[in-house]
Amino acid sequence: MTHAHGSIALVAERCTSCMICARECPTWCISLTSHTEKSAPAPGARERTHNVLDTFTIDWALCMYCGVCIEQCPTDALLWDGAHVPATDRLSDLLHGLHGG
Amino acid sequence: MAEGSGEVVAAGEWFPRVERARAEGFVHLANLTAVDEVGLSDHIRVLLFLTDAEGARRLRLDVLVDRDRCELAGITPLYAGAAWLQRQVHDFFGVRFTGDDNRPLLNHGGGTPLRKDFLLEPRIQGRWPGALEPGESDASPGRRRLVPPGVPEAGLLDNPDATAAEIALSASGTRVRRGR
Amino acid sequence: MLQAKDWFGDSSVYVVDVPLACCALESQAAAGTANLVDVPAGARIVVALSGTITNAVAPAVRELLAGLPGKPVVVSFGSCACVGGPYWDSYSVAKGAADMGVEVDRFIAGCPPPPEALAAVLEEVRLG
Repeated sequence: MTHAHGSIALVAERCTSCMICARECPTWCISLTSHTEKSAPAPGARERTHNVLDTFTIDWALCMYCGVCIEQCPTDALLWDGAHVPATDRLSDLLHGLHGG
Repeated sequence: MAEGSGEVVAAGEWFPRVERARAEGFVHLANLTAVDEVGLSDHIRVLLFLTDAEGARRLRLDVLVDRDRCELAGITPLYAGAAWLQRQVHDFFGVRFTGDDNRPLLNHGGGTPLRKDFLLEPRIQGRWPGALEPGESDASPGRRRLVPPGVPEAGLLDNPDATAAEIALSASGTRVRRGR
Repeated sequence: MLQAKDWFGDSSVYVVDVPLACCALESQAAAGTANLVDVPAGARIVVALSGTITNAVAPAVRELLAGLPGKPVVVSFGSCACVGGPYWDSYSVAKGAADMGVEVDRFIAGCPPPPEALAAVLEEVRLG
């Protein structure tokens, strides 16, 4: 049997590191780190700063699978994924980095 | 549950007023509970919900008990069923019901968990992932940080003059984002 | 006499479900029509901790585990049994079975996990 709401997936390209998911999560199970980078969009244009996602981790042991992070993400970078997180021998193995480190 | 709001009874009049209500036919104790009014006034509001035998007529009686000298007459001589409900209110709000059993019923860990200035230690000690700002990888000190619901503003708990109302308000949290 | 569910109906795995909270609905759904039977000596026992372990109920859970023969496989079924679940910050809840000193063999994430998650772990135990 497949489950539409088995776990939560990150679409990293859409993430702007805004922190909203980590702040809205009721169980504090989302951690993310980022840094800023500068870029000039066109020659002579004003230099812009943007966020770059470094790490994105969900502690599945704590996750309530409530979907608030998915609802609140302003860029649709979080989605329901079908596969339920497999059982593990150690709690630390339930801490999944979904991107980068 | 009751029509309109509760009739507020003076604390000293509690037992006689409840006795009179029972004599008037409100013989069924539906519920006895409490609310911490800190922020509005320094009281614990105890609420008593009574109905008549058929459940047709309803009466709600409220009494405001001082948060610090938190005592109220016990009413088990009138309603035996008040015993557990009073113990529960004592467990969670610290109201002492004179003349009645105040032993812990559900909360054996101490403290008064449903008072609004009661804080959850793990939330205060724990590291909230949302404290980082966009573009940060570690929390640089000296920067004013967002706090999650249940955690007061930094430094408030170290202030001996902080009132219960100030702590409760500070820990009430702000919505990070208002809907979509 | 200790009773447990002969999960696969072939005496391979006997499951003691500790139904503590909402996760018990899922573990019981997983058990389906498996009947409670007397557990024979030397049986392979799996204990599923299905739900929130409040401070009040923790002694009873310890006593139950201590009373089981041999060395059962202990499974934390669901977020509460793993880490205290959404109640991790509560004044009256253990932060999971491991936090109260229980040696947990398998952690199943979920709030609640689907019944299949428990069935999958039991299949692994059966295959040894």
